Amino acid sequence: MHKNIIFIVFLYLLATIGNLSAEADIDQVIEKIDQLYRSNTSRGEVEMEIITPHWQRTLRMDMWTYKMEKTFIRITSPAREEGFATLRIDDEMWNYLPQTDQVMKIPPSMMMGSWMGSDFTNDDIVRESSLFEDYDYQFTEVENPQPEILYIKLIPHEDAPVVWSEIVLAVRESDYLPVWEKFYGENHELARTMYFRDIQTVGGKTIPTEMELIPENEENQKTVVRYLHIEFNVDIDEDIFSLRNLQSSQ
Amino acid sequence: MLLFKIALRNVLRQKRRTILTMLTMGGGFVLCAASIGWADGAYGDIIYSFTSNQLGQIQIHSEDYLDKPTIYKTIVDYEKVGKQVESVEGVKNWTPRIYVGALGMVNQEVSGVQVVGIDPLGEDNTTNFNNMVTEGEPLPSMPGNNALIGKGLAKVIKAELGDSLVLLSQAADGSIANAKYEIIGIVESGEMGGDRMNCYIDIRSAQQLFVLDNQCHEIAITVEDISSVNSVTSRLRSTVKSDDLDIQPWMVFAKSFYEAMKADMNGLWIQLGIIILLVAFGVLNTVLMSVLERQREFGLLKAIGTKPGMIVIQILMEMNIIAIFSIIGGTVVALGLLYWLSNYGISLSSPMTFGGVEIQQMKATINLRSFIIPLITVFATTTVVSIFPALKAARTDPVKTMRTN
Repeated sequence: MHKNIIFIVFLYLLATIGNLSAEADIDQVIEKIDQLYRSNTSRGEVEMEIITPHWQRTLRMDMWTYKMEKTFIRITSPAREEGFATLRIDDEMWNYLPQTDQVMKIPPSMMMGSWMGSDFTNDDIVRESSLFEDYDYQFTEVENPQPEILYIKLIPHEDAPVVWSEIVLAVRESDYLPVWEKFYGENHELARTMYFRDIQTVGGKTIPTEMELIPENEENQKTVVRYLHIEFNVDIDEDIFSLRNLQSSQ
Repeated sequence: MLLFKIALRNVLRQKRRTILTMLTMGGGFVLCAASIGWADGAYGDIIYSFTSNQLGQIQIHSEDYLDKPTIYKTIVDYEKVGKQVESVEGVKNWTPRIYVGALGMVNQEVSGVQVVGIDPLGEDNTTNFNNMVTEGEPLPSMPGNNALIGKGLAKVIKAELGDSLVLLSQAADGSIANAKYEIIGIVESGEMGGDRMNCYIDIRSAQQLFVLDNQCHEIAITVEDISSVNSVTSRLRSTVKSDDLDIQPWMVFAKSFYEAMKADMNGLWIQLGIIILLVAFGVLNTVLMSVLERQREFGLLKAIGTKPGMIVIQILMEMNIIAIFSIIGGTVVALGLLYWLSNYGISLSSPMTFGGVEIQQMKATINLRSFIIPLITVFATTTVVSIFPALKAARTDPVKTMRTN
């Protein structure tokens, strides 16, 4: 009798430990992804290549971030867009239009509109949702799984400020770096896929420095973002994130 | 001739009954004629104001622009296409347009807008556009930093004359399209959806802003005579030979409007059918009465050698004589009524909207079909209804009827 009880307790403990380690595992992955491109502050130079059936162009921009709350982006080339800037504080967003010297606040109804003609929406630029806080997640299986890749399905909480019904994330088992991320729309159809490539150690962090976003509903269209240069946890003048700075030319 | 004389005499024999029958037939005729004339007038007005105010009766677009409009599906070298359009018989005017969605801002109020690039002179010639500018000035003939905005939109972004309108969008080459305009006029087209979204700038400014040199998205065409739309459309198709262009009459590009109108028209035909049915019963009643009470007479006619066919013809003639007089009288009344309706119309106490077009007054039109359709119907009904009683009369057995009566 005693032996039996001990055995059961032992089994229970084993099971719990097994569970704990699995949960700890997935929590770690999600937290790592959440923190991948974030830090207290960052300053970087980014290249955005937009390819559509009708035209193709490359934008270069400087970018500053402060925690998760603030982002400031200023376009440096091509000439027609030079000086165009976007400021985001929490969930509000403004664009500075150099051609007319105007600041335009983006209304909430336009948040799903394209940012600078790319496949990124305004919402992508301002998004402050956190995988860790806003989603339930679990390991999942996919068709044709690759070895040494973990697959995680994320379902947003009901009240989360998220437009996706579901995200499936593929990360490397070895270092938890993302490989791809598939976003599903309201009707659970695939809306777009983001591929992460070109892993490098920059500014003291090892991150994929190239991201390719491919929308499902547009043929022959994609946007590629490359970090040309990035520094993390640098001193940044908080005045950068102000409407005054937005309007002042470089 | 003899038959006609007898028939006429028979008709006059029962004056009261003849007059009542004539009233039924004439009344039916007048109702039908007036309904058709009035409907044609009202529909014609609606179609005319619906198409002439903005749409035009025929439009040209790039292939499948109507299904999925984008900035890229343009009519290239539209001036050349316009020249070809002008040369087609029946075309009154044409005007090019550019449509691009944008963000519009006035005094920090931002809203999604539809930028419409128009040719100020061509647009006014084609659609009397300047009449729709209810406040301020229309666009000047030379391009500048001027814009007009729809009344509903002005309300949404709290814009007033003299305010600056900042537009932000994307040009056809992917670059940012951003420009500032002064609002010089407010447009009230009567089409509410458009008035809530549209702002108008000179097409040359729009071509520059959106990098669409020598291109437009739509050519709107008005025709000399609205009923010749289909023939002008086919002439246009054979003149402007291009596989990339889609030339359609208003029945296609304003399909839902057209369908609603057709459904409405079908309702009218049903209504007319009921009127004719009532007339038919009235006529049937008269014929049956006059045949039954003259059994003895028909018997006598047959006894002295009248052929059955003669009797049938005589009865049909009697009824059609009544019909002729009813129609002559009815035409006079209907003509007067339609004349009055077409000149003064009926004012609606509260304006009715149909397809976004506001209608304040309904006026009739006087056309041939308002008279021809009821005329044929009345004769046909009279003949069909009379034929069976006439056959019955022709089959009268002379011996039997003369003995019993």
